[in-house]
Amino acid sequence: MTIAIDDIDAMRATYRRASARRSVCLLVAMVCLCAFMVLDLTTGPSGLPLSEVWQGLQAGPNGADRTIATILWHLRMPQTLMGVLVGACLGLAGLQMQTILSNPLASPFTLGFSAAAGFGAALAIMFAQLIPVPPYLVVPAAAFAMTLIACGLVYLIARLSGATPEILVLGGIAVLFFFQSLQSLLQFLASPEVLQQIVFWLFGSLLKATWTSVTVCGLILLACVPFVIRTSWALTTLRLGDANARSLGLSVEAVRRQTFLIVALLTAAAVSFVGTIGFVGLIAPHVARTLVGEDHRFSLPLAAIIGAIILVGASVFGKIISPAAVIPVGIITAVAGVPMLFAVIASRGRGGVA
Amino acid sequence: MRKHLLLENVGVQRGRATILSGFTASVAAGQIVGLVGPNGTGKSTLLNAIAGLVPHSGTITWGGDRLDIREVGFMPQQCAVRAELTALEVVLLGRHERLGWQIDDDTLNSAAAILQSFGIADLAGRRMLTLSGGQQQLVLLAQRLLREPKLLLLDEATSALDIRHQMHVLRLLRDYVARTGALVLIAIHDLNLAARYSDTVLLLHSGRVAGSGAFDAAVTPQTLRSVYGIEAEFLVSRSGTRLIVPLSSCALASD
Repeated sequence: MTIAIDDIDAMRATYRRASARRSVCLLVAMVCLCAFMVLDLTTGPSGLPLSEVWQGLQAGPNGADRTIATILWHLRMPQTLMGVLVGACLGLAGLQMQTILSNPLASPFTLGFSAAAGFGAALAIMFAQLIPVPPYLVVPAAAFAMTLIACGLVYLIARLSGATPEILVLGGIAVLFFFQSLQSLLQFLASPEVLQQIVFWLFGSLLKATWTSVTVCGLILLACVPFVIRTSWALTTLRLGDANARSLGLSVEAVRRQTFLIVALLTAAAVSFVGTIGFVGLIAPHVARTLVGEDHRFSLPLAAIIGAIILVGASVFGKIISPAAVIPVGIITAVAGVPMLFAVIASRGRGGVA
Repeated sequence: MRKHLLLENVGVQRGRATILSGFTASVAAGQIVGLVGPNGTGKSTLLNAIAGLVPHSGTITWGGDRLDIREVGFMPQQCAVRAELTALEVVLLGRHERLGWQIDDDTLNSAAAILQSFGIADLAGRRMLTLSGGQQQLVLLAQRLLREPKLLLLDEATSALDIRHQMHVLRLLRDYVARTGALVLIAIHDLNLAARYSDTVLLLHSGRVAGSGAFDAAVTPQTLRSVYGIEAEFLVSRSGTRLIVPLSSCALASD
């Protein structure tokens, strides 16, 4: 019997070691994110060395040096924080999406949420003059509302024949094409000036960030966190497949529907203010899973942090290669995403994992 | 008094097809009940209905009350796992409703002890994707036992196992029943294993009970002929184990 107890102790110790390693992974990722945030604050058209940034941060938004305070607290800080929040929302939404659809190619784009946001924004830009509300409020609000409408449409389709992953993906593709066509129609009808505004919105860019957008996006993310924490074991159980999860007493359809709503909220929060940003929601979950496995207690927070790192990193890169006219992060993540995706596929292929 | 699982007039429709109709049976807790019968006679459907996973008519009660799904451990037939979770993590998910953010030592010890009792302690840290079908089946069985169900429903749960593991698992189930007084319903095709390890059997034919009770009473040359359409010889080995040797299979009406 001593051998048996040794075995049990060994298994427990191995498990604890793996958990500790995953926690360290989270910690390292957090430190990386902080480093990138500082880097993002120090780069920009007017340049600010680290020492000045540090002084500016200590002095606060009402510091004596007005130039530094303005650059740091009113221009760069909202952009950096927005990068973190949007990246975290997309990373979280992406992982949840891939889990509930049991499809590694799923991302917030798969179900047409981003296309819907784009259409909502385009619609608001086009008819901005008719609405007695300033455009900086009405555009994100329209994008947000349209994302929730898209969510409702996919949900309705799923209601008709059960919320299976296949039905959700098919419904999502239908909704995606629907909103993309409507978006094209608006672009076709728009005057050249309005068209330019629409196209600029569609490039995801952190330049649109303000303290208002940071607050709203932050509040939505914060509101979703308790739900994400509560469903993390259910999502891990869902990875055993529907038949297993159901026989373990998990109400699979309910988890899928609730998570689906949270994904819509997170995606809406992310894209309504900064426009469409591709690939983050696809890559961040893959990187997170490769690093810490599929226990969602670890992979969900890590996907959020990795998403934030990718977006803030893209922002730094965009400012460095073209200081005069900052390249929108949406374009950088899309271009940089391709080799990253290849790297992930290659590393998973070597590990014998499809 | 021991609890009884009571099935009264249970019927299941799938589309237009009637899979079960007027199914009535009563089985007492504290035993292993082998569900035997040819393919497509409704064994899986019956287990799914008891587990509350397919809608059914009639009533299913456990000790006189409606069956509480939390007391049931069900292992469906097709349940291969394509995840990167380790075997120990998968076993832990057997208690997913009760797991907190931190997993306590007691829970970890129970999960590890079950893997140990199945003789697969060496698989604890292996990812499910890298395990064979039989190894996965052992891990998933261990997971169901961690739930400590009062009613364990197993659908072909030993189908992918080699003969040594089949015997080992069935012995473990016997121990489990003896220790907890649970009821194990196991759909099984191997009649010799059913004869050896089940206390009673339910022989199903076309969605109805064609025979029940002790194996000898329920499974006879006559019932094998009418239900399976085979001629078989019944032997007793020198060690006293009963053996059914199929001889020919040409008596089915459809053949």
